Amino acid sequence: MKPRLIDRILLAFVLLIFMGIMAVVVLIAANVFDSELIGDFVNDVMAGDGWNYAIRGGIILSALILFVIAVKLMFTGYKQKEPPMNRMALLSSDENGCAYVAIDTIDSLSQKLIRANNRVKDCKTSVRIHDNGTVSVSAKLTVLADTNIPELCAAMRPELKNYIETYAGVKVEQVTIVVVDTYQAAVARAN
Amino acid sequence: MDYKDEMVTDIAITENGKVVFAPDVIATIAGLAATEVPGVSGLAGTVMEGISTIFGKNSMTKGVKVEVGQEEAAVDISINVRYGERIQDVSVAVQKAIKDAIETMTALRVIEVNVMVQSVTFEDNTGDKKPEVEQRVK
Repeated sequence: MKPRLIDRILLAFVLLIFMGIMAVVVLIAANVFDSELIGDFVNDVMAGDGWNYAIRGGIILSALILFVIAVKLMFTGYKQKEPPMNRMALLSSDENGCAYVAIDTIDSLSQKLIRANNRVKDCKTSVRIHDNGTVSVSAKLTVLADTNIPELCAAMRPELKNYIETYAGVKVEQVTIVVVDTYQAAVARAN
Repeated sequence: MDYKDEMVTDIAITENGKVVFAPDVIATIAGLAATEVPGVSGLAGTVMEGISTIFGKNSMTKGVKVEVGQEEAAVDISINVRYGERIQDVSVAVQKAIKDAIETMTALRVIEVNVMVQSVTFEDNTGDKKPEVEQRVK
């Protein structure tokens, strides 16, 4: 399996760290660095307090992060990431292949239509895909205070259903509209 | 250098030698064909593909996955559709355009083109309608 870009970046990062450590080891072995300096530094960090605790904490955190990255890289490719097909509705399937539409797309279309109604101040929508390929749309609305709510809902349900079936090409099983709040514009105090 | 495992998608052996296709070539053909279809506003890639595009990687292959054998190819492509277009019609047009482009330019037989519509783009940015602020004083 071809490694993903993020895995390659992490691998390069880990390898750079490893190369740095090995370079230090080589320099110590070649007596370019005095190994006692490093030993004194380690002893100071382990024995001291204040800043040394912070340094030790930083070293532990860095080592843990590198360890986790290394484990992740070791298991890269073992587990294939499943495509999020449960977030897609099937549009068509023929000899040329399949066409899918994302739930987010249907959600966007629903939002666009609902918000175009000037009686609606805010809305939250959710879309659910059924096993038979149809979708259900649920909308929670905040409407203006003087809105005829039954009339609004009765008109919006078939309009939304027809809109999604026409433009998204997906069969809509159910449209649920819930008016959760009304919006009252602030009345001007001064004339 | 042995290209076979990594870069080669198809080797057609002719009397004059070999014809070799890199995976990105076929993905680029598919991406270009899709973006030329009316109603397609662009290709939908992942976040990492978007970052790669910033650093100069070919943006015509983002959201495109290609699987190629000796004689056949299969394409998975993610697209964004312009608001107001019938998504099903656009999807069918994309399938046909990609199939025609690859078969014409590479002579590979395209067995399937799977299209995934990830989002709808609104040209006038009215997709996120903000509540109007009421004037308190006149």
